[in-house]
This record gives sequence, structure tokens and C-alpha cells, in this order.
Amino acid sequence: MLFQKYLNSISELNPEKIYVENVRSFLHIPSTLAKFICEMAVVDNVFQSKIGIVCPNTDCRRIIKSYNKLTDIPNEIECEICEHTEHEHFIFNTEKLEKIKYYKLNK
Amino acid sequence: MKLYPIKSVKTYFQLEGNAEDVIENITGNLLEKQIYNFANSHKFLTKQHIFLLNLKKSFLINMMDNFPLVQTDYFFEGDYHNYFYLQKVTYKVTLTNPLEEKQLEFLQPITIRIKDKLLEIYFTKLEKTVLHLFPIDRYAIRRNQDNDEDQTLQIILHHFNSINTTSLIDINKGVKYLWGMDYIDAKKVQWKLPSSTNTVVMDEDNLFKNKYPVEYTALISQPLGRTLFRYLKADEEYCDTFDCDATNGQINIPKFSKQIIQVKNVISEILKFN
Repeated sequence: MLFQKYLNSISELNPEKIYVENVRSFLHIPSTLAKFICEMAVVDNVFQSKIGIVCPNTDCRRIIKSYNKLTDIPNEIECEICEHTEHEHFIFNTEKLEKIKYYKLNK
Repeated sequence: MKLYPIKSVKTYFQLEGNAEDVIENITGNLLEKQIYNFANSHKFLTKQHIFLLNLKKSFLINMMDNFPLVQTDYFFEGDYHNYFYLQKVTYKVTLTNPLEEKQLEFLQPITIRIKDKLLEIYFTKLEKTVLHLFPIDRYAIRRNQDNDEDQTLQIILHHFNSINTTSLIDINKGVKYLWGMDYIDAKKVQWKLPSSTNTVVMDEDNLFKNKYPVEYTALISQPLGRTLFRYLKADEEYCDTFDCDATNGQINIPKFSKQIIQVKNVISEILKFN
């Protein structure tokens, strides 16, 4: 019921990138419940789960690239923005990088 | 030679093979003059730092008398006086296994273009790291350097300020015109607000104006800080990407250009609409 309400108003959010926190704050529920709802939505094929690789440079911290599953992630990744803005470090071992999970609404 | 795209090096000197062999062949067998000619004619293919300044008084050729850098070339073209320099830069390097101190000397291409009251200074960017110049087990660390870009820039500005007055050009208007006309869009954008400096770094391949048109409209009236742009057109008129501090008249070309004209096009178009 709650989740249906959320989906009905999804136009207020970006359906390409839905974080657990978006669901939590919208539905005013605990994070654990929001996470559970998102995972259920994946099981029901309403959401697609995505993994974003986060750049470790403190003034960047963007998602460099996203993948569908852990096994798709290459060993090494380059942050093009850090390379072009003259950071000394812009090639990283993905194993050590922060990975952020988000969801995409299936069309 | 590593400051130049290897493809252009091979084409110019009609050589084939891997980059290391080609460079060794050139530095070992060719005359200094031939290498200087290549360095000069291909300087606008390199990664660059560019500074755009106004002169208070119109330029006169005798203003270059007693200039502190040793001139390699000069030519006059399209209302521009073009001066070319190869500035010696010394890196002090510490090596391990065994511990050793070394000095490395590089020649940094510098171009000064002047038209009436417009002063453009182009530095070819030197490699920051020296690791690739030594075997991997020596682990080379660059400790400091003489005649680095900041020092050389200060020397150049000191010369001009002693006979004229320079001021950095605010290129917000020109850059925003190109952004507004969808020639470029930003991958990373920084702008000033009354009580803060905001920075947005776009995830993946997203571009700011494309994704946030409402926020773009709000920020376009604010002074831009360091912003990384991507060229959106399919032609090769501009560099693929450039990073600019519009308020301080500075542009960074972070990638090799594909065409010699691209860097000059970026600068001339920004200044044309500024």
C-alpha cells in the first residue's frame, strides 16, 4: 500500500536514480524498511538494482560509472573529470572504492 | 617529445614503431633545430594552461626588448605577434634502490600571442610525475623544480607590468554565450552565490544544462569558478574538453588536441563573444 503510494508519485523523483533515502524520506519510514521495500521492488521487477562506483577524491565524489551487478565491475576505473581537472590520482582499483547502491524504475 | 601526441610525432618525422623507440630515434639522430621546428609548429596540439590578459596600453614591438625568456621563434600572423620560447625547467628527483638525487631538465614550450591590448600566454603542460622515466623499482619522487610554470608566469607578468599594466580578463560573458548556444555543456561546474561557492560534479556522462535546465538558468547570472566543459558539436572545431576559470581568465586544455586550430578556436570564440 505504502509502496504503491510511492510509485504513484514517482514523477516527483528521478526514476533513473532512486536511492533508499529518497524512499525513506518520502514515505517517512525507517531506512531498513525503505531498503526492504526497494529490494522487494527488484524481486517484483518494478525496480532494477544498480551499483555506482564513487570517485574517492574528496572534491569529486561523483559516481564515475554504474553497473548492474558486482561481477560487471572492472578491476580498474578512471575518473575522467579528475583527470581533466589535474588531480594527481585519477586511476583507481575498484576493489577499494566506495560503491553506492541505487534503483532504477523499470519501464 | 612526450608532451606531444605520438601520432603527430610519427607523422611529422615519418617514423613508425612504439612511442619509446620513436622518441629515442628522434632525440638520438636528429638535429636540435629539426626538433625545435616540430615543437614550434605543433605546440597547439599539446595539453595547455592558458592565461588571458588585457594590456592597459596598446602593444608596441619594442615592449619585447629585454624580455627575460630566450626567444626561439617569432612571426606575425592575423594581427597577432607570436613569440615562441622553450624554457628550461629543472626537476629535482629522489630515487630509491639505491637512494640517489638526480636533476632532470625539460624544455617547456611557451607561446605568447599579442594583438593590440590583448595578451595570451600559453604554457604546454609538463608531466607532473617522473615515475615513468625510471625503472619501476627505483620509485622516483619529484621533490621540487626550478622555473616552474608559476615562476615563469610571474617573470613574464613582471616584464609586462614594468612597461605596461596587465589585468586578467573576465571571460564569463564569452563562456556563457557558448554555453547558452549549446556549443558546450559542463561536466563539473562551480559558481559563486552571495554566501557560498557551489560546485556540482556530474555523475557518469551527464551534463549540467542538459540535466538541470532550471538550475542552469539560475546560475548563469552568477560568476563562474573553475568549470569543466565538453564540446557538444560533432565537428572538430574546438577541443573536446576544456576546463576554465572564467572569472580569472584561465583555461586548461587537459587533452591533446586533434587539430592545430582547435585551441585557437576556443580562445578566439570566447573572446569574440566576451
